[in-house]
Amino acid sequence: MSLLAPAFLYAALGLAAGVIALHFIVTRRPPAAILPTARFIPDGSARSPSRALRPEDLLLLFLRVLLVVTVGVAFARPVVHPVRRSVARVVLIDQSRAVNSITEVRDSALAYLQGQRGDGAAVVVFDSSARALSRTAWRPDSVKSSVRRGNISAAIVVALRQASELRRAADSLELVIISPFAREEIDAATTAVRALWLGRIRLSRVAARSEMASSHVTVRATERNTDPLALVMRARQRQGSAVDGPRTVANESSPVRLIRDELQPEDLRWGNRAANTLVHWPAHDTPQGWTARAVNDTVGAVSAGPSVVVAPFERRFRVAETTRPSRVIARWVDGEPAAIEQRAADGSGCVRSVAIPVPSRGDLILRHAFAELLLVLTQTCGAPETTGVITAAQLTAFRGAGALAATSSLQPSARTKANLVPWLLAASMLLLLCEQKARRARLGR
Amino acid sequence: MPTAKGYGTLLEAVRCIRWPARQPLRGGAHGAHLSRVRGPSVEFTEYRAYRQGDETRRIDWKLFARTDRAYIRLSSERVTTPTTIVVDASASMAYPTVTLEKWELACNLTVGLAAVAHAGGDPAGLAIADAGVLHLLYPRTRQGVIADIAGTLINMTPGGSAPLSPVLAAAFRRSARVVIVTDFLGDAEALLSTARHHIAAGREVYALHVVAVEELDPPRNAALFSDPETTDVRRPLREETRGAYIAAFQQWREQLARDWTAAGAFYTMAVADNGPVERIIRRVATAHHTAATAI
Repeated sequence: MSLLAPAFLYAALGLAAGVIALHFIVTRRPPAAILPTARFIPDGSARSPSRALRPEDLLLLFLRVLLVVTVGVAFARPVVHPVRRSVARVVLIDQSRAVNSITEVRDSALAYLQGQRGDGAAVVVFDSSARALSRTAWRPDSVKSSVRRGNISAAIVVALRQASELRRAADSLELVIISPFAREEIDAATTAVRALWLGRIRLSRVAARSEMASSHVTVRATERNTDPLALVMRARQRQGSAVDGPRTVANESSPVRLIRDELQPEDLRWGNRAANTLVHWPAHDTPQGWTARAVNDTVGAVSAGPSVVVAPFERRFRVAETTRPSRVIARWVDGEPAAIEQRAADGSGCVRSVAIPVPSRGDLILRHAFAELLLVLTQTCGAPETTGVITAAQLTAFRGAGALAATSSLQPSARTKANLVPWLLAASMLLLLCEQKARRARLGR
Repeated sequence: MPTAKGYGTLLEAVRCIRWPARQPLRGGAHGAHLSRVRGPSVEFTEYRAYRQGDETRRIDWKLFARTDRAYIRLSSERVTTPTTIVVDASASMAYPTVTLEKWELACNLTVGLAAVAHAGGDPAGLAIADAGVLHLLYPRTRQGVIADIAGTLINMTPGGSAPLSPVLAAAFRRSARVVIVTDFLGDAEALLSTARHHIAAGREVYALHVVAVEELDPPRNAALFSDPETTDVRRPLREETRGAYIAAFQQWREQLARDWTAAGAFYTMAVADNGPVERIIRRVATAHHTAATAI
């Protein structure tokens, strides 16, 4: 136990010494009684110095000293420190929209927190903001699925604050993050914030929500068996992986439709319907809203959101002057639009036109970067630009290496709570009542 | 404090006590006490030679026949002694404050002496001041006078510091014998002066000094004592001053006894020690009295 303001205790001890001294030197009027023949008593002073302590006085003295010391300790704000252990744990639980199954997240959290006493762990749940939960009051159903975007930077900041409060409880701290680690949860500050945690981090990856990857895409291509894009998407369907790229489905009810040939009027009508996304990525024709360039040129790269594909692309189209895109989905390396999106008048559906040529030779369409480009270009209308999860290399860098974070490297918490103060003040009130009662009993005698 | 029925034991104990007058009295109603006046009573005392003016019917003719000289036959007269008991009801009589033993003793002495006087055929009465109001029961011989006296005392609570000498003076108006039951901590000088005056006039005065055991030996659990009638008197009593207090109190009591005895009254001290009250009453009733002499 330590005292936040020990000066008050020293002052209380001095005051208690004064109370003890006063008990020895205070003169008292002796108890009075009636005597009709009092006139025959020789006259003298009614007060006499008394130095002999009677047992009743000792009780009163004890109560007074205890009262003064208790008040002093209360103002000194004692803090009881928990038993120090070797490792304490801070668990960050992702409940954002990137999580595919909140049950999986709860189970992971339960596994990490089970067996941890209240003073050996801290729990932080986060989506767009992070908040700490009481370890003793935490229950699995405290983690509720959220529609907001996750923010790992904010979560780590709160974790650092919680770690400061745990620094007295352990020698080392382990940070556990339970998250799908979606790309949208990482921002520009994440790396700097991660560097504040001076130790390795345990990453517990859970499945990301597959809708973000817009995995269900209907592809219509005239040259279905030779069109490279159709072939790639069909191959992904067979692989069954929704993480690396979209899959093609035969179900025409998919909200995303990729057209590789000429656009039909009913395609436009379909694209403008609610929640439909029409991607016009013609293999040979001019994309909707584009015109042919006077002179074709070559560019070295194209980017869409976080994905960047470096390859020589033949640029054959440009955005028509009459076209007013709602937003630019992809850009060439020189900044010119490479893919645009036009929202429906009521904003419900959208038509996306892509002017990026898909090479029929080479392995460009097999690269991971091209798969991420496909994800961005085939996601549903209004979906964030950043989709998918961070790569394994990024995860390794995030995890870090070396030992756990030492508590000595953390700043002490500025909000140390002295939980004993209300109890000490209540005890002081009780002692005050007892002292008054003892004093009245002594006077009555 | 005993109720009216509680005096039954006391009244039974004093039933056989007789309280003759200490000295022959002047004329009064026919009673049991010797009178100074000689008269034609049945109790022959002496002969006296006939003088001119004597009633001829009082001449003893048989003696005249034998001696040829005229002699008057004299006899003793018996009269009653109206008795009033003056009781001190000041605050000093309410001591000890819990048991009120002084007041209880005073009430027992009053009722007992009144019963003795009444049993001897003498009128008995009561004089007491309650918060300055004088309660006077004139001496009566009727049957219920003792109950009246007991009832008056039961309804009274000692308190205040009213002087007793006016009460004594009022009692002497219709009484030949007055008993003062008090602790003499009030107007003792005025009491003595009033009594001395009436003693000289031929009345009998009995001074019963009521003292509590705690006044003779104050308790040791308290060190500061205050007078209930004089609130500004607060004196500490320590072990070294206890002897001085006891000596001063005793000296005062002895002086009191000397003064009252010298004045012609009968003085006795009654200690409220739960002893038999009838012993004190007997001591009062059998106080030394002079024989009746013919005027």
